[in-house]
Amino acid sequence: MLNPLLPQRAKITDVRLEAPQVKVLTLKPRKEMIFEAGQFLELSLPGVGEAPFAFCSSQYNSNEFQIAVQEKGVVTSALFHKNQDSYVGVRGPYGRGFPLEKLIHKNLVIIAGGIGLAPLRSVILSILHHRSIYKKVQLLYGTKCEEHRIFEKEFPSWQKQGIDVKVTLDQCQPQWKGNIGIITTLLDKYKTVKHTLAFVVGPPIMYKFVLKKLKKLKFKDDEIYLSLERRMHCGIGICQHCSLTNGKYVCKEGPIFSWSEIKNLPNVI
Amino acid sequence: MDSITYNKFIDWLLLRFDIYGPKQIEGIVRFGKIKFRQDIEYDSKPFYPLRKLFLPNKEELYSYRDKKYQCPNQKKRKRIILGIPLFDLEALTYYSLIFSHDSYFQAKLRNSIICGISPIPDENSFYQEFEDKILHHLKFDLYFDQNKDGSYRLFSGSEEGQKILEGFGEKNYIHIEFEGPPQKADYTTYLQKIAKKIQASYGSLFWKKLGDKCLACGKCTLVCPMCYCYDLQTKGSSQLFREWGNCFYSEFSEVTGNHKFLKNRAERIYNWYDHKFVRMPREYGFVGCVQCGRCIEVCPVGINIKKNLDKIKKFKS
Repeated sequence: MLNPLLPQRAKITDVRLEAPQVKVLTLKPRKEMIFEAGQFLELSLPGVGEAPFAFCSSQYNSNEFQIAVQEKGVVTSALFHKNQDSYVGVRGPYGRGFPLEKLIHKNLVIIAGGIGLAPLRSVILSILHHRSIYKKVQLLYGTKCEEHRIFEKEFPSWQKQGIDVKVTLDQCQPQWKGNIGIITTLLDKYKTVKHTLAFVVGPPIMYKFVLKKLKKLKFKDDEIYLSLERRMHCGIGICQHCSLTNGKYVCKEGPIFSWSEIKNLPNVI
Repeated sequence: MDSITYNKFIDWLLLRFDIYGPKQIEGIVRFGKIKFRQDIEYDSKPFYPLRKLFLPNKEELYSYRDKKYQCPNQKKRKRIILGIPLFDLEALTYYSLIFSHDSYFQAKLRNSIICGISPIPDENSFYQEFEDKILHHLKFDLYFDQNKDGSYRLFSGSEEGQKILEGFGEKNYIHIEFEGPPQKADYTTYLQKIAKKIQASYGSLFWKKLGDKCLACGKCTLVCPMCYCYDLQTKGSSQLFREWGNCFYSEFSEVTGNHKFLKNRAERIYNWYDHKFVRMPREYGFVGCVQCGRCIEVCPVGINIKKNLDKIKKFKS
């Protein structure tokens, strides 16, 4: 009988410091992991524990994938100090990703805050894999300060391939000449076109502002998709840690939800 | 089967299998290993449910050794579990569906011969008229229906159960085929109604009061035959363990950065009901409560699920 809780070994083939306290690891699992942008995996370190991570690389490479690790909790702190060529355990993929198929006829605005860009980079790279079939794509990205920005080196290349990248900083920095203010100021400044879906990932506080702004811009509830964070243990909808009050399991039916699916649930963000 | 033959049958089983059943351990009736027939304490409601024999409170899922993930050997000597009351049988039937993809649970189930027992009938009991119908919806290998005179009507629920009875030389039994989990008349509409009422009651004074009363000790979850939350833990070894979780504890919903999604006791006790009466019916089509009343008996502050459900039913949805 298959054992969904048993991990497989994956080799860390590359480690890259992306921002202070954020590293991007490239992992090569023994057996390929076919995932969709927005899905997650459970990563385990023997003697330390297991934690969920979003895939941040293109869904079209299942032999090797990437995750962004922010040094914060028990597992992430241990993982942060792992070197290239060491091994970790991985199982998954789990959950439901972003509905890329819906983008064939719609434009896309990606709204990311801080490390929330990680799962959305998976969306961007997957779109770039078949750029011609997608329409207009905009990325609005906000961080506290410039050094916290992740994947910044890739922005020019994204821009060249038709992703309209706009960034903002929460705090004023002396050398910074770009936009200052929370992410919604970018929505004020740069008009979104009609027939657009919004993919949003960031801290809960950002969701509150962004949702309010998107509603003002006449986005329908089923045109807004966001990722929910919850404690997760099993990843397969049994252990109950990630259940939403009155409803769904974030690990199984999420982590990506349309706003229409969850807006009536209490304490959801 | 008369009582003398029954005793001989149990002794016969003891020679051939590992036997588990309800017995007194430190003054409390719970399921444990049986050495002698006399140890079995037939109780209509053992203090602790059967759960531990299928979902141990701490279980190794695998260890990481020599660059490999290795699962503990699940092949063990066949065991017989005797004296399982009806509601624990019902809970086990539900567990077997919830844990249908869980290789650890399924290995234990395959390894077990499940023997249910009816309560000792009193003069007013007439459940036997309906028993055949109930048994079609429970998973078991053998079922002992106690008669008033101490004899038993025997039922087999599987080929394995039949083989055991035939092996002992008993031919007087009825075979029952499993027809899926219990369905009551209007079951779904009834369930939907309760689920809607619970959802409608969220955030009301009713839950606030319950939250003020509840100590969040989590005892109810320990004795509930339908609770199954779990944590995956390593704790400084190369093994990964599955341990019982407790949704009444504040860290249950905590994420990195100390944020808790179930913020207070009112939300946590609501979540307990939400799981049993909203989420489980939605996912599996049955309620996560077998009406055993154990949670009522252990609650130090007298929270009564039966009375609470009656109050919830009065909510306008």
